[in-house]
Amino acid sequence: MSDRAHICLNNVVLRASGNENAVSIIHGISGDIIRGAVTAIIGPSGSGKSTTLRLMNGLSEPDSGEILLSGVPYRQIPPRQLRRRVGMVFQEPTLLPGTVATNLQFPFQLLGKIPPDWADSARSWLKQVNLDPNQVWDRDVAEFSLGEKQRIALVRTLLTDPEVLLLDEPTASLDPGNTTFIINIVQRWNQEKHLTVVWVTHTLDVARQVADRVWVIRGGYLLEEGDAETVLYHPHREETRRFVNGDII
Amino acid sequence: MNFIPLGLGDVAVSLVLMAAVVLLSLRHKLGLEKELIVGTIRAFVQLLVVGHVLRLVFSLKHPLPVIAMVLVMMGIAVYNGVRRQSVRFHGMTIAMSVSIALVTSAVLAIVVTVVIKVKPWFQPQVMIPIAGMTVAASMNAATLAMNRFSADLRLRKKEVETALALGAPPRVAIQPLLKDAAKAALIPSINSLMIVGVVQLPGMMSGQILSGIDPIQAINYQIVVVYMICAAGAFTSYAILLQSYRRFFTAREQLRPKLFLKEG
Repeated sequence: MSDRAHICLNNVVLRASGNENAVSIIHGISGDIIRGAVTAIIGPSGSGKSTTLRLMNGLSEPDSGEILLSGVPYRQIPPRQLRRRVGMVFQEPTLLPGTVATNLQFPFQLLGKIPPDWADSARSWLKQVNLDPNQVWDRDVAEFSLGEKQRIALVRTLLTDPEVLLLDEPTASLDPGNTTFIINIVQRWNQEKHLTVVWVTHTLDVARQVADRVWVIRGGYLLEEGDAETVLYHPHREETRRFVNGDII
Repeated sequence: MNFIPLGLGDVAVSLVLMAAVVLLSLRHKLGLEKELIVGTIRAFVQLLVVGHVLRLVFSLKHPLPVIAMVLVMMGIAVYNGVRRQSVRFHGMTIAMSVSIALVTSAVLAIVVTVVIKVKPWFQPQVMIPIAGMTVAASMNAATLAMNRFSADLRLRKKEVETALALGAPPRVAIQPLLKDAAKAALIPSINSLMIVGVVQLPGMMSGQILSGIDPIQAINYQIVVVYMICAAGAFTSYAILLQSYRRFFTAREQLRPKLFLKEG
């Protein structure tokens, strides 16, 4: 494990239904997510990218191996605390029925005590994602477009003040305008707040725009990891080269 | 009006009604004749057997056979309740058993000793019909609640995991599904409350009136029964949901990779 590792995976194995005889879907992945970097996880569909992210958020439990957050094994961190520190945004934004305010208050309700300035914090984040709080605060979330819902979901996750932000194909269902916006805002947060970001994408263009580092996953194996320039333009492995050239889908 | 007793011969005459239904099925090629005939014979035999068992239990004037009958009803209800689930999960039978047993016992105790004030408390003429209705209500509500919850868990897994991913405990993450399942189980009881006496004259009240009981007394009993059924259904559905939801989460508060033992 590198000194700069924020999240470290050590020979992590995940089987299909959690029993010893089941097929492995993640095969002994070892790698570091570097603190303060944007790491893109790329690979063909069904390769295990989202599953790896779920392991990092603690939504799935490895059958063997270990995951560490700042050097502390996940198993020693209470699950709720872990998920607040390693926040996750999904491809399809799932918002609570109700208003934007209801949704943004939710992370604070989970703390048991709602701080008096929660609304100020939430409104400030909404402005950062180009949503006018005066316009959207009391509106029902069902009225918003997919792109707007994804921004609300992003804000909701960031209100837990995570150290690491996991993004599972957050722009896969969005139009180019919203995609560009999300890329730009996440890069800004990464730079201004030194937020560690892990971005799963099957779109190489997104990885090229956003990533400092890249993991290539195929068939549940970590084929290659390294800085984006090397992995995307001068990969060491033939399989990686074929994938970034579009020869493997 | 005095109670009018019926002999087996009188009951046999009512077979004419079932014969007419069989002829209807034959005439219109519904293909249900076999089921109708089997059903007619089964209903006749089962009710005859139950009637004789009840007569025996009533004659014994002892709490043990009454308790045994109530336990048999609960056992059959659990068996049927589990069988009617489209999915199976760990601990389902235990959850169903505990929910039906606890709620039925509590409701029975209240109705028999506090409302009707039966002496002795085990009087079978009161205990057995009341227990039967309570157990049936519990079973139906538990089945409805669990079927709805299981279906929602498959469809709304993302919703639950989104809440977990934000740091929610399992109970908070699953709360919307629990609420919807409890509501689904309660709606039939609420509908009954709305229409009873107006659209529908319940069987118990009708039976009492037929046996010569004053209609006002029959109605008083019916009101108690309707409330009892609603309460039994509500509390059983909540009991089983609160017991069951935990079984879908691991010790690390993740949704289990394999939610159900059997689906279909």
